[in-house]
Amino acid sequence: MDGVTGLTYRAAGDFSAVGAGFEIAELTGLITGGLHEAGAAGELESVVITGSRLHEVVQAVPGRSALNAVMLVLVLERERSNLALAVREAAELAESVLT
Amino acid sequence: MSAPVPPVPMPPRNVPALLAQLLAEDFTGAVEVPGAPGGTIHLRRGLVVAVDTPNAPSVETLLIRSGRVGEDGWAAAVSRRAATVAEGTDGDGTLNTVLTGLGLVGHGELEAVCIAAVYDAAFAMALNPAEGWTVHEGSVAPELAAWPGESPRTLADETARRIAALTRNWGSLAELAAARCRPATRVEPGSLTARQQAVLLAANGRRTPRDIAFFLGCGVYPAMLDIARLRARRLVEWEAPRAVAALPITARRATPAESQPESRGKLPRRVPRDPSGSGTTPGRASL
Repeated sequence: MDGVTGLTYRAAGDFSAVGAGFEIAELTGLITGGLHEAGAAGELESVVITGSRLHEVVQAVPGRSALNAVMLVLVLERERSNLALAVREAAELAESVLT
Repeated sequence: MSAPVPPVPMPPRNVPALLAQLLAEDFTGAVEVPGAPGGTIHLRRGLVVAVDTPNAPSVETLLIRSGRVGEDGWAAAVSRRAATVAEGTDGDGTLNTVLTGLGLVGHGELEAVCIAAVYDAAFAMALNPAEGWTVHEGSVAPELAAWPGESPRTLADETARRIAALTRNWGSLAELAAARCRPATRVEPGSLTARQQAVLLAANGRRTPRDIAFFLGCGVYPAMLDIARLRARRLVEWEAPRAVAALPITARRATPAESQPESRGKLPRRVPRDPSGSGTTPGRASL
């Protein structure tokens, strides 16, 4: 999805739990803006939200344009996933999304 | 006994209704929407594959101005494309495949840019009311287009959501679209994201959000979002638009003789600097 507008480009699997793209974009925008206001440097790499049933991983996708961010969003069932491994695989997957 | 008269189909009441009707008809062609500035919606089998409007950056502008594709690379791709057409080997030589084949942009990134351009141009067109439309059947769509295309219903819903989101958070979209914003205060760059810094640098008091979108190679809607968010943090400002038409004309009307070129005074000449080095010119106030 687009990191600014939340426009969903493509989806696969059961993505009903992901929610609206624009809400995720607003959330990551709030986090990024707040971090920078608080003095954090650099750009957002990933956001991980853990829940009692589901985990959500939002991973920034490296592209050729620094100003037009694309995000990869994954929702995982808590009982069936290893979060640390999932975050690592999301980062690897993001490398190939735009190629 | 006369046969029942079939009901006359009602003409679509607006562009989204027209696009829904064209989807049902599996229509391929274009819908030209006149207006200020208007635009053209390209359809393939009822799905929207591209939208052209002067109000939003094209795919080409998005690719080049954002730095995704260099100008030299773009020129090489266009030349390669022209060569394939001239040789008659047009089979797999669309600009899309040439760009990806030369390694100038990835398949996924080009696809994302084409889809984003459709939604952004539809939003930009919706900022001004449509003044009717003309349907052109069988017209050829641009080469850089979304594939297989976007549902007209999804496009209309997203456009309405974008307008509602900006209106809810901002108010007058017309004022925001026309705002020639500038930085309001000196900002510590570290407190901003790279994108916010770029938008703030582009906001020079002469550019509207549309101009900033063209300058940075991003969408008009994202640019308006950025400006609205920066304004909420009091980082940009702009003057309220002046109602020029409401102002009375107080200047004396020039007579025809006054408007002749030979009756005008001489062109202003540069006055040499004061040799004393004071930096001012005698008889003039220093700025």
